[in-house]
Amino acid sequence: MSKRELHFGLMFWAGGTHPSGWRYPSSHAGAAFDIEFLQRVTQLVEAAKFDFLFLGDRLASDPGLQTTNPSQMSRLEPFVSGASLASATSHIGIVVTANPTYYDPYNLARMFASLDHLSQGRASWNLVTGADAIAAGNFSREDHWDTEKRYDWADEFVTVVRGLWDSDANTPLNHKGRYFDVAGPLNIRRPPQGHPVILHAGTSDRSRELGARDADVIFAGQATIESAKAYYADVKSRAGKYGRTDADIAILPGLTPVVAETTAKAVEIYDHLNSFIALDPEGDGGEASRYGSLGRMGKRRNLTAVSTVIGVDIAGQDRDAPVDPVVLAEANEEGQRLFAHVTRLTRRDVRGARRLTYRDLIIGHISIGATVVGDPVEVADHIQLWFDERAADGFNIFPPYVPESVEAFTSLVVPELQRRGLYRTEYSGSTFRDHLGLAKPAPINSNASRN
Amino acid sequence: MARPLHLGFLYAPEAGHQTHDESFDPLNPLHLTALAQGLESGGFTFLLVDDSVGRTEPARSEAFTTASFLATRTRHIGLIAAANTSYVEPYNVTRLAASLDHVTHGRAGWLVSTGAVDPAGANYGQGAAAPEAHYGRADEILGIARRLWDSWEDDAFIRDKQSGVFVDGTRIHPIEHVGPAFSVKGPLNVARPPQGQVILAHRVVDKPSADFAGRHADVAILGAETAGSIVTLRDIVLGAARAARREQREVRLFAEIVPFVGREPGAGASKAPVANYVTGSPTEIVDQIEALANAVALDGVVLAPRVLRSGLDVFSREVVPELVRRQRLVAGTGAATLRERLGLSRPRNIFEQPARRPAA
Repeated sequence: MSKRELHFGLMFWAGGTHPSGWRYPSSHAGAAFDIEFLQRVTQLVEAAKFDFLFLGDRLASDPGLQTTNPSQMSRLEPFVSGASLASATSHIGIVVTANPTYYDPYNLARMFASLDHLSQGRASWNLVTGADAIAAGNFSREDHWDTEKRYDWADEFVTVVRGLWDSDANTPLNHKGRYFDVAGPLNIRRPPQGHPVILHAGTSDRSRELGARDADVIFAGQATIESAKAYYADVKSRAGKYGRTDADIAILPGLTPVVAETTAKAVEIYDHLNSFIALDPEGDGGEASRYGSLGRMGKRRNLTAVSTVIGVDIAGQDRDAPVDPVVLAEANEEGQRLFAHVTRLTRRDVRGARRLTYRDLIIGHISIGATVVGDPVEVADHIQLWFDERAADGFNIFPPYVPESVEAFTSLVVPELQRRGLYRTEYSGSTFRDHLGLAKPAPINSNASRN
Repeated sequence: MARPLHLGFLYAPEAGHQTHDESFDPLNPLHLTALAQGLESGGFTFLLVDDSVGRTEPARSEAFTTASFLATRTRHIGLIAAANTSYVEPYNVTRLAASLDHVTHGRAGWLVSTGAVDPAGANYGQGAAAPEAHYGRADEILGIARRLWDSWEDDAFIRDKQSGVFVDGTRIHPIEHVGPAFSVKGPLNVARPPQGQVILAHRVVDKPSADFAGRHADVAILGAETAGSIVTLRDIVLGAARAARREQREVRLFAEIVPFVGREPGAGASKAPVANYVTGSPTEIVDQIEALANAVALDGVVLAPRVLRSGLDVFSREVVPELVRRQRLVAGTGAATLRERLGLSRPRNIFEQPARRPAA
């Protein structure tokens, strides 16, 4: 068996994954519709031998997202941007998010087969079933389906799509199932990868099962190494019942790196980014209307919300004042975790020379996913720890601001990981499956003469 | 002097190219690139990337991904991608077309086809439907698409780093469409296309398609064997345009032609009823194109050579220079968008309130 090796993807959000990343001085605020900019960023991570560029998607828009998630309000359709990025690159995998809940399997099978031909074996499907209830309103539906129905539909949908990829004039599909009735064959040759790489993300039991059965890459959102290890072990343990092994699935959690030559400089960048976040007045309520129905990450940004979490009433405090050590002493378990989280990121504490403020607690409370702030060695240590502890096979890198944070990661952290022998210095093949060490699958229902 | 003509190229599964050279594999991205770049350097105004959702031989890639791939490798040529309204969700196809317009910087079009001309119901769990049903659905989808393209006003983005205001929410509009087949709330999740509205093209071969083109198309491609039949189709298109309160000058008229230059193989092949065949020496072919253009008052011709790529190569090498010599080829320089190149104006946004526009 070949040596285990890190895998990296870049989560491309044009304005950065930080809610105020677009306000960072060097960021390109109009990046979402600037295809040449997308191409430059993709070429940047291809030069760093990343496995893939990840194009997310949402099937609705809402002006309320502008404070929580401006990069997700509006953007290029991912097949269109994916085909254009494939045209401007030669090795990197191109991940396109597509939601079977609102697609047709014949169309989607054609789109991915086309992208796989055009990219010469670099297409990938990020299979999501949709969490945004308002998307239903754009697709002639009254309601957003519940989890069970979305996954029942998705399970059959994937089976149809794989069957279409494997179909030809001699073996049309003739699928008749609970939801789909598709004659086939698909009107395009089998994709160069056989089946484009399938990604999936999710934490529900149905999602874990779908991932264990169908996903080549699982993109997980665990914020701590403990929860990530549990998730990793659980999903990999499910693979066996589908005739798959551990090595068939790469689990890549999200990771937001804030890296600079020195720790002090990295913390300065982190603070600078957070200084752009507009906080809320004290009090609660109004969250849904303020952040819009897509704004699931729109936690209330004030000390009222933090008080609820930590079990100590700090709502009346001056946000810029240092936190009284008594608050830490009286905080509940979740509060202790929040303080530790903030200290780990800011290197500030309730005692000592660098004192954390009440504002730091608000920022720590609203931050999502795993973030690491530090110099190249500290960030590489974090990555290596998660990798060695089998919390991750690599990471989907969330660049908080673009393109500078991408440049910082590729120029500072990647060489450090290469020095440690954890990360490739050259691509070993030209398809996305090659990067993942996955073989081209034989056609399902194959005749010996096919493929 | 007679006005110059536009040249379009139809890259279509069923309309031609049944025979293709060894040198052309439709699934080879380098061959596709060479085709598009050859057309661009030959002065063609647009490439129609047609498509079929049914069985095709030879197999080819889906039109929007193909057009987007080619966008990166070309600079001036219009890229008009096909999608069949009978088998798509309106929200999905609308954002594909809007996005293609962004990545081409305003060179995009949508070649609208329907299940009436490309039946593929068995791949979509659909039974057969009458042509009127397919066109009814197409009418509804285009109505939705036009409003969704306008759902973000041109100046909806503020992007002020100082204040942190990213958009002006009052310039982003739900469309609240409720119709016979679809209900679509909106807004779209894509900024307004650079052309305002993406160019719409339609192939006209009979009365339903001519009526549809008259109601919607910026580019109507008339497909018939004789000049007389082409005139008949043209008149239906223009009649339908008038009925829809459109100006005649808003519809650009093209005829589909199949060129056979000199002794090119296949010149003796039996004719298909969807295209006018022009044959002979380069001079004779240009004579025939000019005669057709004058008889029908065409804005241009769309080529569908029977053999890819050699038919195109011969045409570009021998016929295009003759068109240029006679000053009958539209010069491509200067126009930024396909809409401008075709001489069409950028539509006003239906949601824009004139009173709110800043004073000059």
